[in-house]
Amino acid sequence: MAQIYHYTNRSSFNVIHSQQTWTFLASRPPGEHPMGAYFTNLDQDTPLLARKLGIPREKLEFVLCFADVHDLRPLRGEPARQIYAGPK
Amino acid sequence: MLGRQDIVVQTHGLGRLPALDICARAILLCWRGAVFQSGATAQVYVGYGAIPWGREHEIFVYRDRDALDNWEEFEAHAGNANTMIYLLAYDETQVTVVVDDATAREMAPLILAMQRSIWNMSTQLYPLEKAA
Repeated sequence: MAQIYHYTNRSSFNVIHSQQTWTFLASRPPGEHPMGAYFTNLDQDTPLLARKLGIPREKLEFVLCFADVHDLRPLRGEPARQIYAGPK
Repeated sequence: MLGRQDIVVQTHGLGRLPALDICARAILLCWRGAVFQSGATAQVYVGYGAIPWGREHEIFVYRDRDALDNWEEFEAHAGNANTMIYLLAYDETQVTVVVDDATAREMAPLILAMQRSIWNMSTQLYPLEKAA
């Protein structure tokens, strides 16, 4: 099964795993992207990963990995960046 | 876990790889010292002629060598905003252009130049009267 990843920094990771059931709080990212939690199918070995995701290096400090059950929607209907927002 | 803005540029029948090439040329008109980098391998290409067109589907374009060095050292931060453009061409009908701020003074003309260059090339190859 394909995998999907969420990259984050220490402070956000602490918020996520402080819940008994891990919870992703939707937030509004920079730019014109809608509020949401964002995931990607780009793994940690992807060249220039931070640049492709448009995030600072420290946001790669922690990675959460999930089985992809295809319940996320591609960014603005554009699958090229392999970034997905959830939930539907 | 997401930054920057995605601008979708239509290829108007040119196809994704020619459109990617045209976008790079359009950027070079504004950024004369632009440096290119493969999105697949991170290989740096100094000069347009060094790019193996037809093999690259993702290209990072930096304003100049200093901008590349800054991104290599720090990744995304406020100090290097609008000094790099990420081009992706995986769809025959569109090129995705990823920038920090599409409305920024230094970025808006670049996006317009890419859109116009593709449109101009497509109308030369496929004149409107023939399409009608």
